[in-house]
Amino acid sequence: MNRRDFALSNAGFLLQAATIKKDLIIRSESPADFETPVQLLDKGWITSNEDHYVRSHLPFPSVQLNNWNLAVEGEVNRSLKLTMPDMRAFNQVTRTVTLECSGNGRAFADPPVPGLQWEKGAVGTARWTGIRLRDVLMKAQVKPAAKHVILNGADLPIRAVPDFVRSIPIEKAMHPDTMLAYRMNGDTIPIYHGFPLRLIVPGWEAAASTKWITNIRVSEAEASGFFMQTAYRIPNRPVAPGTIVDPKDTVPYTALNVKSIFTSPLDGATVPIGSSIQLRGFAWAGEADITRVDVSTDAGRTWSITVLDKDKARYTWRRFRYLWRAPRAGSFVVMSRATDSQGRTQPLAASWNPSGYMYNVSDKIQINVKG
Amino acid sequence: MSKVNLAIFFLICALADIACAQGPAAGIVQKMEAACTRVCHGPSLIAQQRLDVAGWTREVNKMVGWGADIAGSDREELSRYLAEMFNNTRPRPSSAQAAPEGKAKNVFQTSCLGCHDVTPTARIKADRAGWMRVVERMVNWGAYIPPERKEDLIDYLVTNFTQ
Repeated sequence: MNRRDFALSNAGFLLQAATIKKDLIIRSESPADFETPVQLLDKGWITSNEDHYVRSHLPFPSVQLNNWNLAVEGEVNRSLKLTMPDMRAFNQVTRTVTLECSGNGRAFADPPVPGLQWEKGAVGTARWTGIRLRDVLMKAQVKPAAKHVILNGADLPIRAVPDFVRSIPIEKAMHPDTMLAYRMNGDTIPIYHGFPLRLIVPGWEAAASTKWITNIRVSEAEASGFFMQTAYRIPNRPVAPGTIVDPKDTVPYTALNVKSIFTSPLDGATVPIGSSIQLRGFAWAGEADITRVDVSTDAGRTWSITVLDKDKARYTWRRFRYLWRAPRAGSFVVMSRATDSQGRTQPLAASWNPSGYMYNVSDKIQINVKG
Repeated sequence: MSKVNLAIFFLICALADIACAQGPAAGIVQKMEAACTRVCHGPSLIAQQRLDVAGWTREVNKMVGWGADIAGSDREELSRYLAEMFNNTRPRPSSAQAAPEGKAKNVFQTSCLGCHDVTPTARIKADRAGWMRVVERMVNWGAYIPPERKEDLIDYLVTNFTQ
């Protein structure tokens, strides 16, 4: 991409930031990285296309559907070149999935780490419609030597910036829940969410869910570039805050942690004494299911179990609610703590890593009760 | 120095109560603009970081490796400049919760808080004419405010940050 193309793309970002994404927090104008304020997440179990956070590493590509196609090649017996009508000929599936950016909560790292300073809202839940990746791979007849599936999108790097290329292990690629999506919440996927086709890897950190896909290469090896071999990796053992970790001492970050956040009331809210306040938010656990969420209204000294809403699906967050009567005047530290079906519970203190990934400390808000 | 970077600098000065008299090294900022914020990404990606000299040196070197045209002789000065401007003693750009409620809260968040915290805004305490001047200045310095929302934003600022 040259400077002129970048400038035009940049103008597009600003236009979208000003119109479509006007309610989101702009972490970066270009490339476009927009965070959802928690009060917008509070609107419902499903996050609308307009409210869903946006993550991109490179400028949006210009995609024309009439000349778009998906190449499938590498360790396959039949290389494919599929158009969108070809894609729609496969069995269609719809799956509700919570996506979370691996760096959600990076802003709370101490000491600070470089990268987009996401706070709580680089997470959202949408209904994705498309086809199973395994159906495409089976049509291409994957060879026994295949170990990884490398996905590349139409987004192009500037200068020597590495292309955003990611891979997933063949087992996850062949999982019946891993899909190539062309619709989001019933509509054509917006360009900022990956039009016309994106991968959805349920339960995994969202960088695995590559956008604007045009090329699938089945391979014996992982993708070799920066975004697979350096980024989106975590130390293979706990490290002291501030440690510089060699990429060879890291492993890819894959399945999401157990985590919860409050979406209402907002941090710092003031409520009248004696009023009944519904404390609510969402909890998710990647490939596991949320089994309970507890809240504390006394800074973690005591905990009470919350009620989970009936809306649920595998790989999807659960809304929790707890009715709290503001007992007396004062400022109260209110916390949430989720537990999942793998027996994992949110920690009360953070484990630091050099890229600020996997942040899942118990959420905490301050509520002021006035007499 | 670009208008956007000047705006960031001005607001951080106000925020941290530091003297602006000497200003940053304008030359290095122009070079940073030419190599970074006019080419590959916007200024807010820089302004939100809170790193020390070692951290900024790593970032500058990474960007040079990715094609940023920063001369070897300028890299140390740029890393020191960035560490001075965007280190862990500076308040972070605010979260959504920090902005007061109001009709134009979303405009305030998206057009203003990408570059600076709420605090310098809260310190201005201007009347309507004063806020009109500030908003015009920020637009001139590179803030994008949808024209049809400018009046709403001024009303919001007057309501929440007035004398």
